[in-house]
Amino acid sequence: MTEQKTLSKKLLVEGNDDKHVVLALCKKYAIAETFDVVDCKGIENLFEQIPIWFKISGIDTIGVIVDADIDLNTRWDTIKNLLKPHGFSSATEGLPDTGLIIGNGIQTFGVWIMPNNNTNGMLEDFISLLVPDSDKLLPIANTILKEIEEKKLNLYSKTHQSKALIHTWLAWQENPGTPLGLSITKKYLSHNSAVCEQFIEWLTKLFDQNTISPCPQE
Amino acid sequence: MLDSLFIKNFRNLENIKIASLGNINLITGKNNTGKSSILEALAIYASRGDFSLVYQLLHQRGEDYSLNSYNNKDIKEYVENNIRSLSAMFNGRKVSFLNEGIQIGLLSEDLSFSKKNINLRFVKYIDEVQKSDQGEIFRRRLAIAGNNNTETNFNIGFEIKSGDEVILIPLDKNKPYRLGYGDVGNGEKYQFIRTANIDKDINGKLFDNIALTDKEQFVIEALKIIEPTTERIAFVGENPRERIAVIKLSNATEVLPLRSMGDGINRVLTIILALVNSDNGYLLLDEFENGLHYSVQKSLWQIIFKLSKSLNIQVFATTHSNDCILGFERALNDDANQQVSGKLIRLDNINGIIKQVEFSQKEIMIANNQDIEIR
Repeated sequence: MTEQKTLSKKLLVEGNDDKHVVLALCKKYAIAETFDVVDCKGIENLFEQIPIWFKISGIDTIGVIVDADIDLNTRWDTIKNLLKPHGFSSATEGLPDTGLIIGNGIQTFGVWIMPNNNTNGMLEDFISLLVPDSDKLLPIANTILKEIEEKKLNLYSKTHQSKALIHTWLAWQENPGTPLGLSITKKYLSHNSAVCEQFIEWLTKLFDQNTISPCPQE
Repeated sequence: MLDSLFIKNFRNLENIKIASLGNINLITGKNNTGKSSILEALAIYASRGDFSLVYQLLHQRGEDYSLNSYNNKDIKEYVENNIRSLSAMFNGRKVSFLNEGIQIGLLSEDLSFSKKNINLRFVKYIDEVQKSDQGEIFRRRLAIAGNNNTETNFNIGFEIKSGDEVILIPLDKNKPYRLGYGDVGNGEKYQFIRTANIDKDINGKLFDNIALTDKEQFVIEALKIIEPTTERIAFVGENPRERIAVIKLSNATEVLPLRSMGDGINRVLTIILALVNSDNGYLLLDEFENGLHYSVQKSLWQIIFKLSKSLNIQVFATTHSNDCILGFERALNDDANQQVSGKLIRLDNINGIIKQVEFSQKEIMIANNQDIEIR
């Protein structure tokens, strides 16, 4: 994807990690650059931006990736409420496990709630599903986390447990401190898991790979 | 101040409903989306349907087909030319006695047409001679229903209506606006700055209105955006109609003609003189960015914001320029005390139908803070 914000399709993400994970996966799956990834720098900003993108001239597709965090249903309700004034009537139905894609006749909107549209959690939970089955370090990292939690030595909150886990695991790889996106590129993480393929299917379907349209310039 | 806007059947605006307006309203959109038409409609509204303004607007678009020959005695030709001219104001140039005509004004609560609004339309009328109880004979023009086909001997007139106030103007004269037909209420103060009018004559008069008052200082302050050493300005010349603006700079002994200093400062002068002459009224500004480098646009917006607040002026400006929108957003964001409310309205031409998209003040500020380019 590109840094220049000129395409008519936008993918809004919460942060830099989300952005680079998407970009790395796109590279692995050879997904064409049909959309801009917009790092909204926080979920509040992302929700504020959605109604604005609906109004900007020449935007035909808006995709959103957010974390479910501790309450998937609340996230989904927030998004449904943002869609209501824009004529997406079918958004009243539930969120499919395969990610949501709906249209209002003018624009297409898609949402994927991390990790899998079905459980609470975040990007890091999605990432932990990409750890290869043969991996021997993840169970150890898990055990250690439980140990320090039992001794109440952990400084992270329960919400961020999966974040702590995946970054612990990453610290034990060939190059400690590799960021999430790069760890896909460097093949620490496998991109062939079922959830990942589901995600890619949602992404390619939303940003219909056959149509690359530059945003009309004034 | 208008807090909403409803325009129907006016030029290319078939039906525009803007639910809320701010103190400062910036209208954007591509060519032929009706940006200038909105300003024209607002001028007609503010003037309470001033018929000479209607002709002035037609004239500026080259649509006033009034005959040049004063010797022409053919009334029919006058009527035809007046109809041809005035029909240019109507959506699709449709002249019909049946439709509701042009409507301009506020949206009422149920989003329908409010009675206080301005209504312009063609009407059929007959001249009626009546005798009063006192035996006086008088004539009056009596409008007849548009679908009345039994009356064949009718004339065609132009009706201007606001609430219960109605005037009916016959079109059988050359330049019919020159005759007084009364009005439908007191107009409000407004100034309309067209795309490229740096009009020496008008500016001179506007300056006379405010010279030696507190407002003169606002003018100097605005000119300093472009020329920081500006000390004073004046309009000089023997002939009152041909006076030119001159400027005194702090580092020079001689005064300079303002013309010699480029388009930017002249544009700022025109805008600011219009502004200080519209207290408690409206400033209508077509193509804000004309002649202005992007670096000065934010500063000019800041002065407009300040004067809009202190002189109670509602501002409507149009623009093609993303720099202008950015300057507007930044000025709005910097206005820490939220002194004025701002609104961005984009007009889209979708297969010939003009639609509006409204950005609220909150949305403008979010977009500006999060680097989203609104267009």
